[in-house]
This record gives sequence, structure tokens and C-alpha cells, in this order.
Amino acid sequence: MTKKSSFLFCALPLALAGCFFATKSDFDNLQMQVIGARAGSNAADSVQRAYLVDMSRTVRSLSDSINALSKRVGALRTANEADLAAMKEDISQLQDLSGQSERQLRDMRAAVEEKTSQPSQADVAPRDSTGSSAPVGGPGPGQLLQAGRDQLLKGGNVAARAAFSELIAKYPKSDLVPEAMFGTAQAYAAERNTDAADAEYAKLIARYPSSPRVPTAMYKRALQLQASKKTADAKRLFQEIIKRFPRSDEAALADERLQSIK
Amino acid sequence: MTMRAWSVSLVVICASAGATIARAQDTTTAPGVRLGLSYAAGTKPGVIVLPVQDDYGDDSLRIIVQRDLDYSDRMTVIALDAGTVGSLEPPPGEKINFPLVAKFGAALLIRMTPTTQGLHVAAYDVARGQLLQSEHFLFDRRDRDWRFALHGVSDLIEQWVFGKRGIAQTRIAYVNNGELKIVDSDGAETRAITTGRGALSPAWSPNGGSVVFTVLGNAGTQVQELDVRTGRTRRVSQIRAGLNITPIYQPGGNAILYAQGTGNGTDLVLAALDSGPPKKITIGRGTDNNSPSYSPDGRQIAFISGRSGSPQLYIMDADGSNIQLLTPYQAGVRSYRAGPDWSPDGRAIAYEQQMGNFQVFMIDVRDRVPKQLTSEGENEDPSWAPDGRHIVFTSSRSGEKQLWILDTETGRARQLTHSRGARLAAWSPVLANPEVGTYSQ
Repeated sequence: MTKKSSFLFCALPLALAGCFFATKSDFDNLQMQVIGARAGSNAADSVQRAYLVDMSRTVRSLSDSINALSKRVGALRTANEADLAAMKEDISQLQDLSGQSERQLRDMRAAVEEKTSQPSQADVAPRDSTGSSAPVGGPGPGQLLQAGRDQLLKGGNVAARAAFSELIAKYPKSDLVPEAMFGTAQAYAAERNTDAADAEYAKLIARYPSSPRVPTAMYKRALQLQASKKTADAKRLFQEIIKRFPRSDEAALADERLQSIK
Repeated sequence: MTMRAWSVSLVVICASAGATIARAQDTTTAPGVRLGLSYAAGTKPGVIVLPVQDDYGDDSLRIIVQRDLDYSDRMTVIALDAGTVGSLEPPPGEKINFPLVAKFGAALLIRMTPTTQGLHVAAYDVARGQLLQSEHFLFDRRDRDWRFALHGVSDLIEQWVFGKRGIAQTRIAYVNNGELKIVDSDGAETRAITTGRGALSPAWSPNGGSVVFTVLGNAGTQVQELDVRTGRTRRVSQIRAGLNITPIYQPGGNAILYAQGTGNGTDLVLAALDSGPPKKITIGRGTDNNSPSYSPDGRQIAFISGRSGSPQLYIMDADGSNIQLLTPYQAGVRSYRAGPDWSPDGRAIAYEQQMGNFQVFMIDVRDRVPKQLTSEGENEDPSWAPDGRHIVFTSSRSGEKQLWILDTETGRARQLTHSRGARLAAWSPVLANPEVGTYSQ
């Protein structure tokens, strides 16, 4: 037997004797304390529960607000997209219509020129020093442009070029000169004289960089370069169209051609 | 002056620019120059076709030629009873009594005489009392296509008179209950050239040798080409199956332009028949661009686009640039336009426009002024005849959809087909070799 075991053997009877001498009031006190502690814990739980319920309500209401906000943002986005699409359509229509109106105005101008040039062609002095109105006895720029266009439609390319060239020579400051240059290029292209057409387009681009005909002229030049296997030059010109005229039809076409080059 | 007959249609057929107008009045002897028929200006000359020996009742040579000349809308066929018209034929060895013929209001007299090798045709200028022109045609009524060959004779008579060939020797392809059919321009000889269903949008090649069309199947629509002479069909392999619609030939005949649908709208695509990948001609940015039609010189394309909202008629250069709205804007009206077809003379474009129901219109390319051509029933899918004057279209005016032909100058209309559901007509060019076969799809 060791020293440790003999110590346990003496202490155990003493401890059992202590339990035997505890009174009933001690037990009651202890019971009361336990009940008190339990009640305190319950009260704390209910406060915490109430707090949690409150929190949960707040979170739910926050979530509802976020959902509502998200729906509103979504609706706003859809409305914006629809508005943007409608705006895009309107812009396209405006572009189309402005082209159409421009043409109608040119036609009207040609008609007016025709009417005004009819009476007494002998003794009327030129009215406009800018060279944009009809000189004595001759057709005005609008008439010449119309005559050239009519010839183009009929396939009279030489006659068309003659009319356009007369317009450019007689009315060098007329706002119809870029149109005449474009028409000249088209007449050359119809004759399959691609070099002359290309030169005319180049001239138009250089002299009238803000003319609405420029993106078309540039695109036609780029196609010609591509056909002549000058791919790098064609690529550069396609890129320039996209950069300078991003909203034009020719820019979209140029983008497509660039993709096919890659 | 107004009653005085005068000579019209001075037609210089010599190609040489330096050619001068001949002095001779006899059209058969002056090479390079021909004077047309003498008749009152602004009127349709009257024509009498003399009876033909050994002819065949209702389907006689005389009736066919008379009908062709009538359908040309350039002449008035004078209907006389058999006894009267027989009395105009002079006894052998005697001359034609032109003053008597003139009393019936005829400016032109046609005489057809069967010969051992074919048919001798003579056209007489009644006012001048002389032969206008005559020719011998190799012609055999036992041939399968004898009727069609005879239409060629009618067309040549028109050329003698007006200097412009007629359109009798043409055919019209159309869709009837999903089958592709072809009918002669006078409404005879209808035949199905496909046996399968789902055919749509036929279009003739420039030489009339083939027809391109789409076939609707499980894999979408496929573009097919039919050789009209052999009856053989082939899938255009350069074009993958998908949403491919409204194909047409490029005027050179070596490429097909069609509309290809994607998730992002529909665009026009050009597929060369010999090589190279198809390339886009329009970039619609999500809009629909379809129903192309080339100008006769191939330099421009008319097409329908919804780029500015409702579908409208646009023209552009053949490379896709220089797009212009053609149909005028009407405030508050967003009318739907569709089915353009550029006239063979390049002057106008026919199309259909929704005005409650659809009606056929044409617009002058120069002046850009639209002109309404139809108003009775619903009228759609116009297609020009090679003369640039007549139009074939689908109309419900008879109570059901049929093909009708309209003379755009006089407004005269006639029914072409009599089988329910005919639509999507395409008028052929003048056909040189009229062989038509059949094939199984």
C-alpha cells in the first residue's frame, strides 16, 4: 500500500460526516437561489428574443426596401433602354428624312433655277458674286446637278460627267460642288474606270472633309484598296472611317470588313 | 392635223453612232434603219389577224397571236366574225384590199401562212398599203413547246411595229401551296417544277436558265437553285441552313444576294456562287433588312429596312454604302412597306404598302413620287415584266388569292392563274430556250 492510498482511506469518512450535519434551511436557500438564477436567465432570454424579433423585422423591412428599390431601378433601366431605342429610331429616321429633305430641296432649287433662268436671258447681270447662282443664260448649279443625276440614272455616264464638270467649273463656290464631285466619281465607277473614280473620291475627301458624302467616299476608296490587295492601307482607311464617323452606316460596314481582314 | 396619220416609232437599230437616218421608206430594204407603223398619235393601233389555213379551233395559231397582241396593251385587236374576216383574205394572185381593211379601223394586218418548214408571217401597214415586215419561222406544232415558240412570233411582230420586243415569250414562277410552279405569260401551260412543299420566294436568273428559291424545313430555310432546262436542283452550298430569305441573283448571275436572320436582326448577305465566303452588305444593328432587288445595271439595290422604325423602302449602292430612304415620310403615318422590285428599265420600283390592307405602288426613282396602282381587294408581291410596263402581283379581288397582271400605263388588269393560293410571283426575263423540266425535291 502506498502513502497516497492510506490518506484517501482516512479522509473519506470525515467528508461523509459533514454532509450528514447540513440543515434543511440550507437546502431551501440553495433551492431559492437556483430558482432566482433560473428566473433571471429567463428574463434575459425574453429580452434577447424581443431584440431578435425586432432585428428580424428591421432586416425584413430593409430587404423589402432593397427589393422595391431594385425593381424600381430595373423598371427605370428598361424604360431608359426603351427610350434609348426609341431615340435611336428617331435619330435614324431624322437622318433618313434629312437626307430626303436635302434631296427635295435640291430638286426644288433646280426647279426654281429653271424657272428663273427662262425669262429674258439677254440683259440680266449675275446676281451673286459667290458663284452659287446661275450666270446669264446658263443653267444653275441645281439644274446641272439634276441633269447629271438624270444622265447617271439613264447610264449616260459621259454626259453626266460633263454636267457635273460644268457645275464645278462655273460655280466653284456652290455648296453643290461636293455632290457634283461625288457624282463624277460615280460616273467613272459606272464606266469601270476605278482609278479615275478613286482619284475623284480622294479629291472630295481632301477638299470637303465635312461633306456628308465623305464616309461613303472613304469607304469606296477603302474597298478599292482592298481589291488592289493594298490591305494595310485599306485597313487604315476602314479604321479612320470608324474613328471619324462612328455613327455612319459606312462605319458599321468598315468594322465588318476589318473583321474579315483579320 | 390631229386626224392625220403620221409615222411614229422611228427606231434606229443600228448600233453605230455615226449612222444616219435612211432615205428609203421601205423598212425591209434599208439596212440599219426601220420606220414603224403608220397610225394616229396617242392611240393604240388596231390590228386584224387573218385566219390561218389548217388552224385548230380554240387553240389556233390565230387566237394565240391575237391574244398575245391584246395582252401587250399596245394594240387593239379588232374582233370580226369569221365571215367578215374571211372576206379580207384576197383570193390567190390578188392583192389585199387595204382601203377595206382600213374601214374596220385597222392600222396593221397580220397574215400567217403555214409552210412545209414552219410559218411565214407578214405584217402590213394598212395606211400605206404596203408590207411592213415579213419573216419565215421554223415552227413545228408537234414540238412540246410550240405554243411558246409562237409567243416568240407575237413578240417579234411587236418589235416590227414598235421597235421593242413583246413579253409573250416569258414565264412567271410562283408559289402555290408550298409548290413552285411556272406558267406562261398568257396563263397557259401551268406546271409544277418542285414536288416538295415549303418553297418560297422564287427569283429568276438574268438569263432565265435557273430559279433560286428558299425551302422551309426543320433546319430553317435553305437556299436552292433549280436549273429550269434540266429540272435539276441543288442546294447553294455557300449558304448554310438558317433563316435565309428572299434570295435573288446578282445581275451578272454569279452571286446570290439574300437576307440572313440572326439573333441580332436580319441583314443582306452576298454569296458568290464560285468562291469566297458570303459577305454582309448591310449592318442593321439589330434591325431587319430584307427583300433586295437590284437595279438593272447592278449598281444599286432597293431593299426594305426597319432601321428607322417601321419597314420602309431604301436604296443603296451595291457595296452597301450610300443608303437613302426612298419612300417619303408622311407625318403621323408609319405605313408598312414591303416587296420591292426594280423595273427592268431602271425608272421605277414597285412595292406594296399597308394602308389598312396592302396595295401595290410604284415610285419613280428620279422624282421619288409614289403612285398607287391598285385599290380593289388586297394586292401584294409585285414583279415587273421585262417590258418595264406590266406587273404581276397577288390579288384577292376575285375573292381568293390569285395572280393578276396589270398594265401600269392603262390600268388594265387580267387574271393569270385560277388555282387557289397562288402568290409570290416572279416574272422571267425574255426566255431564249423555253425548255422546262420537272424534278423531285
